[in-house]
This record gives sequence, C-alpha cells and structure tokens, in this order.
Amino acid sequence: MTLWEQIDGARFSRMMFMLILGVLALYIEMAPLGIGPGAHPSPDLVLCVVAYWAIRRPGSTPVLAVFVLGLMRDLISDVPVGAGALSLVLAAEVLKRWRRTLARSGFLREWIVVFGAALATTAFQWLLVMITLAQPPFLDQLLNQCLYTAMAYPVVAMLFRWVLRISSRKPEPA
Amino acid sequence: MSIKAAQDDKTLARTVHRILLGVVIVVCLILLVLWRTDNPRLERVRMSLIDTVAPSMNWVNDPLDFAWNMARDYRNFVDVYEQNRTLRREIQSLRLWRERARLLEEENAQLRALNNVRLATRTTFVTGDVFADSGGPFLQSALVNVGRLDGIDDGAAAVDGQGLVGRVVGVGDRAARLLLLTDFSSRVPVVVQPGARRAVLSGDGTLAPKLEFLDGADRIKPGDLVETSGEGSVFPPDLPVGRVVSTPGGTWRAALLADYDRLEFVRLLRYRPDTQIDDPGGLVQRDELEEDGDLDPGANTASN
Repeated sequence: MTLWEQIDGARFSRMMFMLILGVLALYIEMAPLGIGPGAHPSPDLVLCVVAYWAIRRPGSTPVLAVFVLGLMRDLISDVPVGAGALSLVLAAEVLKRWRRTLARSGFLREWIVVFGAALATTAFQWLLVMITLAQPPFLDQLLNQCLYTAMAYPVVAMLFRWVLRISSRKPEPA
Repeated sequence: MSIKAAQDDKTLARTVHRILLGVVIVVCLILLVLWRTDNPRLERVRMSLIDTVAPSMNWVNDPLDFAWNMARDYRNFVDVYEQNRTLRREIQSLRLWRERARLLEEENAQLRALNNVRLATRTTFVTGDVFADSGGPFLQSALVNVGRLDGIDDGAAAVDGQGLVGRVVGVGDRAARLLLLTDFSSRVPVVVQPGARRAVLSGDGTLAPKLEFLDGADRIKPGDLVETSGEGSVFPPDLPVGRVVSTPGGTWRAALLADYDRLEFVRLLRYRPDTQIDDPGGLVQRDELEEDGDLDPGANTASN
C-alpha cells in the first residue's frame, strides 16, 4: 500500500465532511447572539468538532485540513491570525496520539481531556499574544470561554453519535 | 508486498507527516508576525474572505436568530395586546409632536436664512445588519453586511439607536468589520459635557471603557454626558457615547449608551468633514500681491 493509495475516495469524503461540519461549527460560533463583554462567550465549537473527529477518525483528520479550518477561523473571526490555527493543529495532533488510551476509557475521561485541550489552546494563544506584545484579554473571560467549550462538548458528541452515527471506534490506520 | 516495503511506506508516511507539521508550524508563526506587523494587508485578505463566505453564513444565522429572538421576546408575544394599546396612545401624542416639530423646523430654517449660517456638512448613513461577532474574547468586533459598494469607508462611525458602537476597521465589497468601543485597541477622542472637557475613551474589555487624559477631572460628576469630539476628523462631532461613572479606583469611566446586548442593526455614518483651509492657497502669488501693495490679510479667511 503506497502513500497515494491511502488517500482513497472514502477517506477524502470523510475529510470533506469533517471540514463542512467544522465550517458549520464556525458559523454557529460566530452567530451574533449577544455582542460585547457583557454577553456569554461563544464556546469553541470548532475545537469540539476537531477533537471528536481526531479521536474517532484520526485517518481523516490530516494536519493540512485542520490547519485550513483553523486559518479560516482566524481570518473570519478575530483570533490572532496563526495563533488559533497553530493551537488547533497541535491539539488535534496530541489527541490523535492519545486516541487509543482515550478509546479504551469512558466518555468522562475524554470530556476531561477535551476540557484540558480547550484550556491548553487558550493558554497557548494567550502566550503567543503576550509574546507579540499585543494586549491579551482578561484571564477570567478566557476561563469562562473554556468552561462554555467544556459544556458544549457533550452536546456536540451526542449530536455526532446519535444523529450522524459517527461512533465506531475501530482502529483506523493513521 | 513484502513486510519491509510496508514498513518503509509507514516510515515514509510518518516522515511526510512530520515535515508537514513543521511547515504548518512555521507558516503559522510567520502569519502571527504578519498579523502584528502588516495588519492592513492581512485585513484586505480577511475582508475578501469574508465577502466570499458572508452569504453562506446567513443560512446558519437566520434560523439561529429566529430561535434566539423567539426566546428573548417570548414575553412580548404574551402581552402583545396591551402593548398595542399603549403604542396607539403613544402614536396619538407623537402626531401632535410631529406637527410642533414641523413648525419649529420651519421657524428654524427662516432664522437660519436670516442669519446666513453655514450648515454643517451633511452626514448620511447606511443601515446594516450585524451578521457575526468575533465569538471569542480576543477581539471585540462584529461583521456588518454593508461595505464599499454602499459607500462605506474605513474609519466610519457605527451607531445604534442610542449611541456610538464602534468604528469600521475593515471594508470588503459587501461587508465591513466593526471594532467595538470595548476592544482593547479602541481609542476615541471624546468630550465630557457640560464644559467640553476633552478625554480619550480607551476600551479595556469591559462595558464601561476608561476615560484617559481627562481635562479638569475635578469638575466632572457622575452622570455627565460623553460625546465624540470630532477631533482627527474621523468621527462626526457630538455623537452620544456614554455617561460618566466613577469607580472605586479613582478612574473615570463611561458607561456606554449603545445597547450591545441587542445589537442587530447599526447605522454606519458616511461623514465628510468640512474642507478646511489652513494655509494660503497656491493660486494667488503672495509676493505679487505684496508688491502691488493690496494684500488683504482677511482675504484668505473670508473665503472659508
């Protein structure tokens, strides 16, 4: 099996499906339901989608696809360009590496890990913004957003599992 | 296929993956540096991307908006009858006021004609629908569905019914990006009324931005009105912004008048400042006039 044979049609269509779901998550995230500092922060739905996919379908979550999704998010919304994409890519890579352990343990552990990923990506972005000498936002607002992401993850997971039937954990060649 | 070849393929795939990851990391870091150093160019890329995706965003937005408004206005649905009656009553009294306003306006126009007052430049506006916000706390901004084709320029002021909301920082053909007053990088020259005390309103991620470089802070009372000063000719003067509030720390802040919670439509102002003549024109040769001895020092200012 060569490298080119690996990129088969089924996997490609799965990847496109992931991208479409990611873009949909981005749109929902950006819907103007409450604007400004007084409003509830939008959960990081793109991270939820990518995390779910990276754990279940690591083969169809390639680096480039995640990067494109992250970059699109950075450009359309106003995350510092590059920082959001980089943190998303790194989170997906780490989750892909841990997927076997995660697949064996229950959903609770997966949930905690995704919450950890949300915290880590936010902290990483905050750090990059600090390094570039821009004004980073308040930490409590960031933490608040992470909590919302954590609350949103079970909903996303339930939708994917029961509505879209993406649940099989058969080991896929990465 | 032998086992060795398969292993080779696997290592090859892994190496390719590693190189790809490295390239992605480097590209991201370069983009981050670009974001910090060459923002205008990135802003153009950003706005062209938003121009392309904006129509498709409405597919998601409209149903979400509908559900959100249903939930929020549920109480209004319940007492719509009572509301209708109060509105009718209000319309009646407003009709009277409209007549009075028309009379006053006529009188005003006559007086102006008598006085020969030069009117301020006309400010026209375009109303746009807010179709997205930045979502995260990193930047406080929103996207509006009017752009260059509607005559919007960079720096245009955005107001809602009550006060200033922010300014345009990126324009695409059919979309514009607003930087809200609450963002960390927002700075607006304002005056505090009464007394026209100058200050700079600088956003810090809260709903009540700080008033910095405040003139005569000892004369200021909570509740004073904060308006745009029009300095720098970016914003028109006298747009209402907020009310002064004092904080325990001794800093003055302005509680914004604009209702960010219900920001659905904003007006983007098309403002052209007055042409200002601050030096003698180049057409008439000053030296020649001096030689002729008929230089009138008032001639330049009179033509303003």
